[in-house]
Amino acid sequence: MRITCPHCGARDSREFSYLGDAKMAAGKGDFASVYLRDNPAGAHSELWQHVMGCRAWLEVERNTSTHEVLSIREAGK
Amino acid sequence: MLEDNGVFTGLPVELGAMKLEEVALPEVTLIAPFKGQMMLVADALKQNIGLILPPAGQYRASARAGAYWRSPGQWLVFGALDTGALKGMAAAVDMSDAFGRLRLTGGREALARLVEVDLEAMPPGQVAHTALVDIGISVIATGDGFELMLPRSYAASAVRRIETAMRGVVARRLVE
Amino acid sequence: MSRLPNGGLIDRTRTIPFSFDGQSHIAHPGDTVASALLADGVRLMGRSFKYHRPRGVLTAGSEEPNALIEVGQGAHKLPNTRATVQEVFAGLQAQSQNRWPSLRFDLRAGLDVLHPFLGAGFYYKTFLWPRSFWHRFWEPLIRRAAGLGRISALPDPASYDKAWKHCDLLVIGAGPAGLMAALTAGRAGARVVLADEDFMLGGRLNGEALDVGGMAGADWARQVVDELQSLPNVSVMPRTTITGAYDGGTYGALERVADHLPDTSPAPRQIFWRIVARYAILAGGAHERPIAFPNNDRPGIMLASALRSYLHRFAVLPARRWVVFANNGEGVRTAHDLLKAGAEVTLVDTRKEAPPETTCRHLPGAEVVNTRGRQGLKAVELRLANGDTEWVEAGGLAMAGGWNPGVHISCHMGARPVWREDISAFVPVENAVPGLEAVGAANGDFSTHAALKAGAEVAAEALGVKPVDLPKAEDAPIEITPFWQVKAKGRAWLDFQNDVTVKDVELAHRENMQSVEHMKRYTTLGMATDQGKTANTGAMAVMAGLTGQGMAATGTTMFRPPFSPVQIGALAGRQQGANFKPERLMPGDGFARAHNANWLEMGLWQRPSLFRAEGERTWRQSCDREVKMVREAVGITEVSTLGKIELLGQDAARFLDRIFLTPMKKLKPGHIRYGVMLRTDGFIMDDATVARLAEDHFVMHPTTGASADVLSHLEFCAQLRWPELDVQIVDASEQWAQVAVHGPKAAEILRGPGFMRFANMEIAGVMARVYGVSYSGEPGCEIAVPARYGAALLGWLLEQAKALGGGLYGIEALNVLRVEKGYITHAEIDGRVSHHDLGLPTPEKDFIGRQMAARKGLRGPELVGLKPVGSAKALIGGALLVEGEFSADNVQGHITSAVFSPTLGHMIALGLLQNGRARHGERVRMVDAMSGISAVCEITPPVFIDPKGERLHA
Repeated sequence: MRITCPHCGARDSREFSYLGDAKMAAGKGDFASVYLRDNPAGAHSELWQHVMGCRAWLEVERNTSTHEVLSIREAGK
Repeated sequence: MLEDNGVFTGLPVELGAMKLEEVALPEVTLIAPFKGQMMLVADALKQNIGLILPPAGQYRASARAGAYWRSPGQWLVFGALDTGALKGMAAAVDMSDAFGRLRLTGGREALARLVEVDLEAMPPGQVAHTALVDIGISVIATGDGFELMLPRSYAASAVRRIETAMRGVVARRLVE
Repeated sequence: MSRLPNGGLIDRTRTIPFSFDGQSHIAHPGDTVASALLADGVRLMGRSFKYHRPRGVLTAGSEEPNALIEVGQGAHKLPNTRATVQEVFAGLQAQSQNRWPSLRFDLRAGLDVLHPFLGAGFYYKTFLWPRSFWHRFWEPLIRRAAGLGRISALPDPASYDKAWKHCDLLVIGAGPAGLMAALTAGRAGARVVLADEDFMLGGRLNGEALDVGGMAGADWARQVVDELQSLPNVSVMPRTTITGAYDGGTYGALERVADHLPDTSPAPRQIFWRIVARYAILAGGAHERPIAFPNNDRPGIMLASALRSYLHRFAVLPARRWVVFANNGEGVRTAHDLLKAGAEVTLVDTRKEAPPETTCRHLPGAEVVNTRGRQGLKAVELRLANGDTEWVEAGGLAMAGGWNPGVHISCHMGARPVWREDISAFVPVENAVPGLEAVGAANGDFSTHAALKAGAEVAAEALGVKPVDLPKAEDAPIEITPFWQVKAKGRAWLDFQNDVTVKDVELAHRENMQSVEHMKRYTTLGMATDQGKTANTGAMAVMAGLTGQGMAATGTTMFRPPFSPVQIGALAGRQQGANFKPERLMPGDGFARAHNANWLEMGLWQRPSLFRAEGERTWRQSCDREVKMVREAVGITEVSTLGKIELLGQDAARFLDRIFLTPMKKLKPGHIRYGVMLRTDGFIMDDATVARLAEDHFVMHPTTGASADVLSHLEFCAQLRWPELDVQIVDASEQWAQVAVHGPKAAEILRGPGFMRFANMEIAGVMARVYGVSYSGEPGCEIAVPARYGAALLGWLLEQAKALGGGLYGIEALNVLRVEKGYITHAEIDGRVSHHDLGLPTPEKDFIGRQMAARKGLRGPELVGLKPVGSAKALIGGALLVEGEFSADNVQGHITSAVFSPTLGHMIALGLLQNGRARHGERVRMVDAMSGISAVCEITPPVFIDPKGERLHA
C-alpha cells in the first residue's frame, strides 16, 4: 500500500505506523473513546504516523476493503 | 580534554566507479520555533547566518550554513550558530553528535537496493526522509551523488548494508 | 535424433554438455532442458504426483505441469524446476523427481492400479479405523510419498538482492503487444521497464512462422529489442517474471539473474524487485488449453502451440507421425507446420463444419477417444463423425483446445475475469487494477495485428504521446467452437500436475462441492506449482456442464500472487542471519569490546552483559563480583541506550503534567523527579525520570525499550491532543553518551549535584549534563557528554575507578542491583499493571488515563518482594504464586524478576501478588509448572537493601 504524505510525497506503507480510528485523537479518555470502534467495511478515517519519514501524524481516509486512499491531510489541521 | 571518537570505521569504500565516504559534520542544531515566533526566528537566522529556512523537501545553503526541514515545525541547521539570538523564540537543541553523514557517488543503483524513493527523479538539493531498509535516514541529492544523514548508533549497520548493496551491483554487472 | 537440420533460434556453432538422470546430452545456446532432451529423443521426463504415471513435456513455457526436474547438487539443489524454463549451461546436472528407483521403473506406479480407491478426497473417507493406525502408520507413509521434488535441507549458499525501480510505464510481457508499447513509450522519452519471464524476448513470435513488417516475426522482435536496449530511458529485463500487482501501482518482480549460470557465479542468484509504475500494460499473452480425453497424459502428448515452439524456436520435431486434435482453426496451422518439417499428420477437428483441408488426412467432427504407449505415445484411437473407431500409429499428439488470456495480474486485487462467449475465454475486467490495462492475447485479442495495434495505442494514450507506426502482420479471426471433453471410457486428465481427472470433478459435483472454490479444494485441482494454468478452465467447463449453469455463472477461483513460484530467499534478500535486523551500538561499544565484555542483544542494541575477569568461567562469577564491586567500591556502566527526549517551551511543564500521573508542573529547575505515564486505558505505559534544566526546558529519560513508543505518544499529544500548548519535543537520544558512576566511593571520582538534582558541569574539559539519579541504590550520578566523547569518558572514569578498587560492570549486575533496591522494569510493568498495583497514590490533577485508571477492575495483584525460606532456595522468573494445592483456579500472582543477591547471599525476587501489600511476613508457594520446581517464599516489602534510602541521601 502506498500513502501520500503531504510533506514527503507517496511512500510505501512500511514507512508509517498505524494507530487506529481517528476518533482517538478527539477522545476524552472515557470508555467509549478508549474502547468502542465502528470498524466499517468501507471508508474509514484513521491515524498514521510517518515514523520513518517526517514523523508527522496524518489523518487518512481509507477504504478498508479496497485499500483505496480517499483523502490524506496532516492530522489536526 | 576528552578524545573525539569518530562515527565510522572502514571508510572509504571504493568499488569500480562507486565511492562511499564519510563527510565531516559541522555544528548541527535542531531549531523548532515556538508558537507565533516563526517570522522572528526566520529573521534572526537570516541575520545570523544569512540563511532562509527552506520548505519541506529542500536543502538550502548560504555561505555560512545549510538547513533542511526535518519535521512539522522543525529544521536541522548545519554550521556555527549563535543560539543565544534565538532565546525565548525557538527550541535550539545541539544535535552535532547525533548523526553520521555519508557521501555516495556513482552509486545510485546500489542505493536503490536499499531506499524506496525515486532517486533518479530527485533534483539536486532535494531532501527525502525515508528508510535505508530498516534504518531511518535522510537522503540529500547533491547532483553528482547522494549524502545520507543517519543516527549515530546505526552507523556500522548502515555502512554494512550499503557496502553489501555496492558489491551486489558489481556482481550483478558481471553477468551481462 | 529429433533436431531438424535447419532453422531454430539456437546457436548451432556451439554445444553445451549437460546430464539428465546421469545420462549425458548435448544442447545448443538457446535450448532449454526440455528442448534439448526432446532433440535427443527423450520424451519421458517425469512421473505424476499421485499415480506416478510416466509423463513428458506438455508445454514450452512456465505453465509446464509435467516436466519438473531437480537442478544442481548438494546445497545448490533446486527442486520443482520446470524443464521448459531452465536454460542449459555447461555442466548442468538435472534429475527427474518423484520416482524410485528410476524414472523408467518407478515402484510407486503401482498406485495407478489402485486409482479407483484414490479419487478426490479419498483421505477423508479412509484411514478411519483403527484410529491409532493413522498416527503410527498411514500418516508417516503418506508424508514420505507426498510432494514432488525434495529440498536439500542445507543452508542456501546463494545470495539474493532486493531492489526498487520507478517508471512511467511498466510493460508486462515482450511479445508483439509489449514490444510495441515499450517502443511507443521509449521513443517518446518516458521511463519504461519492459519485463519478460523468458530469456529470449518476442513472445509467440519466436514460436510461430509468422511474418511481421515483411520479415520473420522473430527477426522483427530482435530488431525492436536491440533498439529498446539502446535507449537509456528503457530498462529491458529478460528472465524477469512480474509476480504480483499490489496497491498504489506497485508490482513485484522476480529477476532470475544466475539460474542459467553454473553455481560458482558470484552474482546474486535472483533479485526481487518492487516496481512503482505510473501506468502498466499487461501484455503477458495467453495460455493454450488441452482437451480432456481418456489417457491424454502420455509422454508425447503436448499443446499444439508448444509443438510449434519446438519446431520453430528450437528446431525440434519430437516424432515422425502426429495426430493434431483441435477445436479451432489453429489445428490447420499446426498441421501445415508439421508437414513442412517432414512429418505425417492426421488432423482431427471436433468441428463438423470445419473448412476442408487437403494437405493432410482431415477428419472433421471426429474425436480422440484413447491412446496407447505407457512410456511414450505409440498409437491414438479415433472416433470418426460417423461413429467408426480406428487406431492410428503416432508418436506425437498436439492438442489445440483454445486459449486462456493471462488475466492473473489483473485479478490480484480481488477482481474476477469475465466470460466472453465469442472467444470461449475469460478476459480481464477494465480497471481491476488501477493504472493497469491489458492488451493483445492477454485481453482476448489473439491476432498479431491486434496485439501490435493495442500495444502501441494503449501506451500512447496513457502517456499522451504518438503511437509508433504499425508493421504489417496477420489478422486472422479466432474460429473456435467450444469443446472441452470427449465422452468415452477411461480417465481424462484436467490437472496434469496434481493428477486430477474429469471423474474427480464429477465426484466433487456429486458430493455437492459445486462452487469452483469448493471443487478446487476438494479435488486439489489448480493447487500445484503451476496453479492450474492449463487446468482450471477445463475443469470449470466440466463443472458448468454438470450444474447446467454455463461458464459465465460458474466463474473462476480467486487469483493471488505470486504468478509463478518465488523462492523465500529472494523475498528475504540480504536480511538474513546476522543482517536480519540492524544493530545499534553505543558510543562506548569499541571501548567495551577492548575490555573483554560479553554481549547481550536488547532490542536492536548491543549491550555488555558483564566484563569477564581473569579466571572467571561462569557468568555468575562475573556478575556476583560486579555487584559486590558497586556496593563496596565504585562501578562504571554505560547507559547510553536510554531515551533522552527534550521538551522546551513555555507550556512544557503543563504538557508533562498532563502526560505523567506524577505531578510535574511544580518540579523546580535543577531538580529531577521519577514518574509514571499511563495509557488512555489506565494501565502504565512507561516510567521515566524527568529533569528540569530550566523554567521552560525538561529532559525526559524513558526506558530503552519504550522510548520509541513514548516519543510517538508525546508527538501525538503535542500535534493532536493539545495543539494549543506551546511545546516543542526533540529526540536527542543519539546526541548524548551517558555513563553511570555509582558506589560508596563514587564521590571520590566526581562530586555530583546531589540526589535527584541536576547540574551542567565541566568534566575533563567537556561540558557535561550530570544527573543525580541512581538505578543501583548507591550514591553517584549519571554523566551525559556529547556522544563523540563517550568512549573517552569511560576511559577517564575507569582509570580512577580502578584506583579505588572499582571497575566496569554490565547489565547482568545492573539487574541484580536494581532488584535488590526494588526498582522496576517492564518485567514488572508489563502492560497489565496499574499504578494502584505499585502502591502509587492518585493525584488530584488531570492526566492521561485518569478516567480509565479509576475503574475498580484495574486494582490487580500488587508489587511485593519474595525470598525463599524453605529447603528449596531457587526462585524462578515467571513462576506462579499459589497458596495450598496448585491449580489453575488457585493462582494468586507470579514472579516478575528473580536474581541471586550476592549482597544478601540468597535469591530474591519481585512479584505481583493478590493483596500483596497486606501480606508482608506471610508465606506463599512459588510453582514453576514447566520444570516442576516449587519453593516456599516469604512475602516481603519490594525492597531488600537500604529500604529508607539512607545511602543515597548520605
